[in-house]
Amino acid sequence: MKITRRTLGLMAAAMMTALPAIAVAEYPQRNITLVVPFPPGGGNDAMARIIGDAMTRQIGATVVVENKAGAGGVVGTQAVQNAKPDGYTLLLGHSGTMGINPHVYPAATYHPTRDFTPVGLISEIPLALVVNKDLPAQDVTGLIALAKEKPGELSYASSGVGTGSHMAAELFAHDAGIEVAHIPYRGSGPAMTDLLGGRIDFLFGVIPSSHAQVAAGKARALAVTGAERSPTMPDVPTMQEAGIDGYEAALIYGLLAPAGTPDDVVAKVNASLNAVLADPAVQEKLAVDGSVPRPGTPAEHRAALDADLEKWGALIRDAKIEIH
Amino acid sequence: MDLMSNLALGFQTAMSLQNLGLAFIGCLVGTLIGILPGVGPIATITMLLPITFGIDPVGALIMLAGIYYGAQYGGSTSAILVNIPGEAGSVVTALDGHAMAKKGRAGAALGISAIGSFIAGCIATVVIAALAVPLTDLALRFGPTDYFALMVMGLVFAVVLAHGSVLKAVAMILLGILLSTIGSDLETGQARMTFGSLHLADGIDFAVLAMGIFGFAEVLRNLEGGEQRDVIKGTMGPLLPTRDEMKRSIAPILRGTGLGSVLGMLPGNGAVLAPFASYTLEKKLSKRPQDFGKGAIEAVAGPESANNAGAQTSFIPLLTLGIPPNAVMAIMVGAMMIQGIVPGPQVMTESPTLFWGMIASMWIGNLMLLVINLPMVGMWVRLLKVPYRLLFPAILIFSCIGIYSIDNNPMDVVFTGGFAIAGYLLIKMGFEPAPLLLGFVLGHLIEENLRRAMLLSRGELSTFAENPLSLILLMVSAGLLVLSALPTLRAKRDEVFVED
Amino acid sequence: MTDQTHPRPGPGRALLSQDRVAGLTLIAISGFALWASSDLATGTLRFIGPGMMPKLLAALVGVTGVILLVLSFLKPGDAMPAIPLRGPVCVLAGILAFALTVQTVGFAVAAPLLALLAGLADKDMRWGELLGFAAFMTVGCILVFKVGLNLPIPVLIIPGIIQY
Repeated sequence: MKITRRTLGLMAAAMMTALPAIAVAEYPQRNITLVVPFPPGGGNDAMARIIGDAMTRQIGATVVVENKAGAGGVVGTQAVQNAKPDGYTLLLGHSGTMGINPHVYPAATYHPTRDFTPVGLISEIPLALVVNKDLPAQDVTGLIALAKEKPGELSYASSGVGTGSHMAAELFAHDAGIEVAHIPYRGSGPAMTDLLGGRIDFLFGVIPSSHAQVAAGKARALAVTGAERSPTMPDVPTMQEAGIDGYEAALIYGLLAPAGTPDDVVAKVNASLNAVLADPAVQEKLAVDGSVPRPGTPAEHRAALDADLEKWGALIRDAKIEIH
Repeated sequence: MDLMSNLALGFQTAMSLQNLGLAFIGCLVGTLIGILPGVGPIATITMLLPITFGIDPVGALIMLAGIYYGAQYGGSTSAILVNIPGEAGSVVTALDGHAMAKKGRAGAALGISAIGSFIAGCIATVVIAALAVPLTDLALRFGPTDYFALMVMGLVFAVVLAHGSVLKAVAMILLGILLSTIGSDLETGQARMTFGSLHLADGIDFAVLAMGIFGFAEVLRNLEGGEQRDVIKGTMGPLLPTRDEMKRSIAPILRGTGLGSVLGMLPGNGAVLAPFASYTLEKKLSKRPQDFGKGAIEAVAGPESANNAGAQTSFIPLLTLGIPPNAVMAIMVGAMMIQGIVPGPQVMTESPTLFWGMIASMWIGNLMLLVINLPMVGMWVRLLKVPYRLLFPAILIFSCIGIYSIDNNPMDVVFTGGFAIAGYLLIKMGFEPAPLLLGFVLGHLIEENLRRAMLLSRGELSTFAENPLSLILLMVSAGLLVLSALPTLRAKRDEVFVED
Repeated sequence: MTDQTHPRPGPGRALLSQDRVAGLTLIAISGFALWASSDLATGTLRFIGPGMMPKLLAALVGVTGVILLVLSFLKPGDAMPAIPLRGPVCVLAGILAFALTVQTVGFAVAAPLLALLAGLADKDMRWGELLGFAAFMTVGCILVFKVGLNLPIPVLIIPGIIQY
């Protein structure tokens, strides 16, 4: 506690003094706006504020987080799409807004790599498959067997249509060939409430907060959806290890700029982002939401965005997920 | 006992000079922003969230809690003074609170809401400290069927809230729920009645609707002139509640606290019902129910206490489960995550200073509110002495700043203007706006829980009857409805028109 | 909230009684909502569609409207009160002016515009007083909300010259 307090104090002090001192002729010359297409208080917002705060000290300009919520992230995303491509308006984009929305919302007419300039990946968030503590299934195979025994009778919760928790579950049902009922909630909190209350059989949730319930004995984790096991719950197998071949569902997060942003500006922001992601203090804060940092080049981000868009598009087509 | 040592730890944490200062600043700034008409606690916390970064986790959460209480009290202040509720709970406060202000008793209304909130806060703090953990598991048993039944009961309260024609009140409730269905459908993501507008995709904002249909419509009515606006300038009477008013308020405050404490701890946002339930209860128990809606102090004391108690106990699911029961608590979760804390059941055991420090700071926050606000009552009341020809442009400017600041979107201001005209016309037709707002607030919850219950029961309506809790709640609702309809029916038989 | 102060014309046989207008309005709203929600699937009880609640509610609003309308013919009711135009028109104009200017020109223009336009709504309005008050309010609000509380509301934007 003491260390954190001192570091935080130092950070604040650095923030105050660093600003006016650095005055470079090139980018950045004024505040950079980082648009979060969701309301304050969620995981997206927290990530943006952690990154923005750290970059403010790194890049020599204040990174102001602006929440532009609406229509599942479409409003804020489109605002950045139409912003001036000068590097002063950035977007926090993720699998939901970039990979899933274009397949789901008629209003989301943008393309993640054609209408935006990828700046760099921030992190990946794998999820955990969590079941109600009274469910007889002890592992993923058991869950699948149970679902096959009673087709359509098991229910899973999601934090809304088209969210990562919905898609991860649909991918699971599709790969395992089971029929389960989808019960959407407004956010992950209410979804978890009904799982704890015994009305929901399973859900895919963010690892740390799921782990908190698991550790308290209120739920059980059967698998994690990343390619590797999570350091938070090292005993829990990945979905592949648990027998679902090729299953991987981690949500990717990254910084994007409007299409046509100059390369040197992109390079500068990318360098700053990567420097920030290398900071253990930042890593520790990001880990609260289960984020695994994925520093890299803009080109890698572009490839990841294209692959993500294709992956979720294929699932939505194959599984015939009915979304309007 | 454990409780005592835990509380001692909590007070030790919360009483540090730094944390006391943070609680004070939080309450003060929260009150100042919250008093902007239309700006409720959610908007206030959102706006002020960034100032808590850079403070240590305990301090930041204590300050946020202070902002929350401050914003809530600020919201009640603008509801009483200018009839503009910033959140659902203040709708009830506005009804009789503003009526009291018109009678020259604004000070008494503000005073009793501060005192009632303080008493409610003290009791709710003890409830949380002593019962949070055992009650959590109980609250988890509440499922969609129960919430549906509870919200239906809330709609019955809305009928009681109206003092004119029951038929017209029902029409307004239905219209309110209808308005709440605008926007993206939760289950399919389909846009409903948005006419392709992205602005409507997330539905109508409560503050936009409430300010237009309640506050601005009131301004338009006052502009018609007549004796109404003179009353505001009329004699004031004693500034604070009189001894008699205090005596009449004590029981409602305690009952409101009880209702609020119980409803607030439900993880499905039960707190939203607390003030409405309290109003209904007080009106049913009162010897002079005809005074309700015309400035009955019980109708301010009860609901305000219920609101504050509910606000307080809605921390329970957050603290013991890490699950936010409403939008305000969701922001608290976000603040915790930024501070590096994973919300969950482990917070209690792993960070006892945080857990108990926050509980203790709730009590301190309530004390601060009393200390900050009682001296300010005189100032607010004097504000009403400004001649109306200047007061109303000021109200409009403050309101427009408030509405614009919620989302930094001028479209919201335009919508507010539209609702103002609609609200004005509705009043002209003899409709009351309060039931519409309650219908709007409960609409989402009713529809979502109904559809969720039907999904979970695979379409069996009997799920409501098999579940004892929802069955009881639905039966109580039916009973209440009959009770409130009876006088009207009798009156009709006697060929006497429903008088307000 | 109902009229306590408006002189009641008393029970009469006015063609436009309050309840009759109310009933017709509800029916109109109902019709509009039914039309607006006609593209939404109603669904079944097991799978309640997105359109079930809107359509059901719209229909119920219509039913209350019809009842009000029918009752208005069966018994005498209050006449519809007069609706003065000056207040609503001025206030609405002020609000719209604020909405149009706040983001493009800034609060320093939007606020006085709102105060002046809306101020016209009152018969007791005095120009000098209103102008002074508008200026006072604008400066005061800038000091409190922009300088003091740092709300992200633009104060004055003149492209190329000032952006605060």
